[in-house]
Amino acid sequence: MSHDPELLAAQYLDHMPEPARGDFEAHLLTCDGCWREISLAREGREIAEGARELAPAGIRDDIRATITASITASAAGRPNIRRRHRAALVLAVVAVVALAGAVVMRTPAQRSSRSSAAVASPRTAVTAAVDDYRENELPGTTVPAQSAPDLSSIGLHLVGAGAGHLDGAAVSVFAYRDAAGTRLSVYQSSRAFPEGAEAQHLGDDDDAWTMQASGVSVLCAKGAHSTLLLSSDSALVRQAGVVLNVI
Amino acid sequence: MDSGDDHEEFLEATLRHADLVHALARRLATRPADVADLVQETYLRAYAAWGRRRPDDPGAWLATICLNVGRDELRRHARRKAAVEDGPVPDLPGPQDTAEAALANLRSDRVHLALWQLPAAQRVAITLMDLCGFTAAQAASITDAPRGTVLARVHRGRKALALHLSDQRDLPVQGTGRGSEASHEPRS
Repeated sequence: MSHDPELLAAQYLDHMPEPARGDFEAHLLTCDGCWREISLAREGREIAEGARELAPAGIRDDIRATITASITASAAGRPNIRRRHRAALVLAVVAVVALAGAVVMRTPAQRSSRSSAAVASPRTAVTAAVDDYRENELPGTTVPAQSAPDLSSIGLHLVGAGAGHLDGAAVSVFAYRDAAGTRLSVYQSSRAFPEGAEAQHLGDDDDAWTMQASGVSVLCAKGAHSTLLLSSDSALVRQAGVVLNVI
Repeated sequence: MDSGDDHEEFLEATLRHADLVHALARRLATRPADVADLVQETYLRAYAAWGRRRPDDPGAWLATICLNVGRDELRRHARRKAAVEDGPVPDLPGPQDTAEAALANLRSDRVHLALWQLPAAQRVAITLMDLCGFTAAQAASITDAPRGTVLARVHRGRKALALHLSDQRDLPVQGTGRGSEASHEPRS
């Protein structure tokens, strides 16, 4: 019989329709060449399939951070960030997450269940923001419509961004970190953040106040948008307020 | 639909395929350090294209993009005349590995290195079908090659793997000499 054992074996192992399949199986019993082809290819397939593997843990977080960073950079007018910068940004995001001890960027669905809890036990937007800062959380994974403020002049680089709701108010949040690892969050909203009971006004400025809550310094300023700045470093909060021209 | 919804929809549709993209990237990147970059670049290009079209088969679509990114990277390397390694260096078992895990790693590394001994077309065909689980028809669509060509590549690659890694090294190889890949047939 004149035939091509390699071709027949390849077709047989993939999909050979009847009646050709039955005929070939009968032929296999009498043809050493085809038998060897099938045996070797089956063995090779088992070896290859045995090498199936899962991607490293964290790869999905890296991808999510890369996509979010690219969108944020694009919104800020830097549409074509270089790969190494992108990698650095991803590393920064991962580092922040690692320092926090867990991945805490909640999905909007998860967030909504938390919002329901907030309704049952009311808390102000400011205390919710302080909680988010302490837990290193963003209000959602939706990309903010506006671009991230540039705080590089005071050594802060963007490590995350998200839009969502804080105590019922729509907010955009930008998370920054300096070289020492100190974090600062910038909340922006078209709605004024309610003043905390412990708030102290900055000089004679009725539109700006500060407070301390659970070890977090908070600075709130009203302008075209209400801005809330939070950090464990009160000096950094003031510096950011000056750079952003809100105090 | 705003960009936030778009971005969430994209991630929901594509992140489930991260394992296959990573598996493919490992067989395309000439340096282990480039695998993560290749994966990230694949997702960035996919996201850039997401606004223009929604793929029917996101897994196959991502694999196609990953292959293109891998080819671009190879061309870039070639232009720079950089020293391209023959294949990745396997990770040595760390001191914290148990003996069983270390053996499993060595087995996995042997297969990985054996895959790198194959011609690129065979390596890609095996990766798509045996490691990523695509059918021959899907692999043909992803690589833009006739189904028969994909079948021939995967068949020859499987035989080569078996000869490299099994104890049956004395088995003769059948059917050499067909097509452009004949010179890449495994040595017995």
